[in-house]
Amino acid sequence: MASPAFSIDMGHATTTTQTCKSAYAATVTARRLAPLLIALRRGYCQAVFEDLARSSPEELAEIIRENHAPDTRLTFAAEILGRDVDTPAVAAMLKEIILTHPSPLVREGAVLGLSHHLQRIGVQTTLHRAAANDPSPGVRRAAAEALEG
Amino acid sequence: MPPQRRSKADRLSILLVRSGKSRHTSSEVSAEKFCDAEFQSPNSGGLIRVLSAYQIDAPQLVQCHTEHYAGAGLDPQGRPDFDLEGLAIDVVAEPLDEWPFRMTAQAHCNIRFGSDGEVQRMAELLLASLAARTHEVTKPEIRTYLRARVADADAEWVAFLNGPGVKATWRTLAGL
Repeated sequence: MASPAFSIDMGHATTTTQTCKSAYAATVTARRLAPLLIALRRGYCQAVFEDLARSSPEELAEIIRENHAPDTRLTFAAEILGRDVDTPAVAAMLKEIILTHPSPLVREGAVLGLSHHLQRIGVQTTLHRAAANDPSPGVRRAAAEALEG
Repeated sequence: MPPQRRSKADRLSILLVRSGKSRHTSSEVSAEKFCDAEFQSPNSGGLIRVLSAYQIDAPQLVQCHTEHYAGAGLDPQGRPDFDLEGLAIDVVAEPLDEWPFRMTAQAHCNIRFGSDGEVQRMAELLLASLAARTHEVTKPEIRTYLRARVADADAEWVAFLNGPGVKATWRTLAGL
C-alpha cells in the first residue's frame, strides 16, 4: 500500500483524505443540484429549460423523468429537450413518455420534441402508435402531424 | 408612431388570433391548467400580462399562422390558433418593426391585462367556448400556402426563404 505523499501523520492524512472526499462529494452534489435550484427559483419556465438543455441536458431529463414540475411546465420541458438535444437517449426517453405518461399535456410535449428525431429507429413506430391509439385527440393529432415531417 | 386603439366597430367580423401551445379539449384540462399552459411567460413562468396577437379577417388565418411562425424564427408547425375576439378589452395595435411580412406586421396587436386575475378570467371564458374559438392550421395547409407563394414568386417569401439564417425546415417545406 502506497504511503500518503502529503503527510507522515497517518491520522491527519486520513482526516484530510476524508475531508477532501466530503468536499468533492459536496461539490458534485452542488453541481447536480444547481440547475434544479435555479429551476425552482425561476419557476420552471421555458427559458430555464432552454438553459438546461444547453448546459446540462441530463438534469432537464431528470426533471421530466421524476415529474419535478407540473404537467403544464413539463410539456414545454419535453418539447425543448427533444428540440434542442439530439441524442438517442433523449429519443428513447420521449418515446417512453409518449407511451406511458398519464398527462396528455406531457405526452403532447413529448410528441413535439420527438418530431425532431424522425430518422431514429423506432421513433416513427411510436408516433404511429400514438396517432392511432392515444386516448387524447390532441395527442393523436399532434402525432399524426409529426409524422408529416 | 404612437399605438392606436382599435374601436369595437373596427373589430367586427375579424379574428383576434393568438397562437396556442397545445391541442387541448375542454374536457381534458382544468381552467387553471389551461391558463398556465397557454399564457405562461417563457422567461418568468408567471402569467403574461401583454399578449401578442393579430387582428385579421378570417380568410387570412393560414397566411397569418404561417407568417407568424416564419417571422418569429420558429419551425413550421401546425398548432391551434385561438380567437380571442370579444374576450379582450384592451387591444392596442402595435405594428411590428423589422418583420418580413407586411400583412402580419400591420395586423399585430397587444392585448393588455391589468392583473393575473384578468388573464385567468379570459382563459376561463376561452376554455368555455374552446371548440368554437380554436382554429387549427395544419402543416399540409402551411405547405400548400408556402408553395403557392413560391410559385407566385412572392417577393416577401422569396426574400425570407433566401435570407441568412432561415431554418432549413422552411426551405424543405417550400420544396426548395
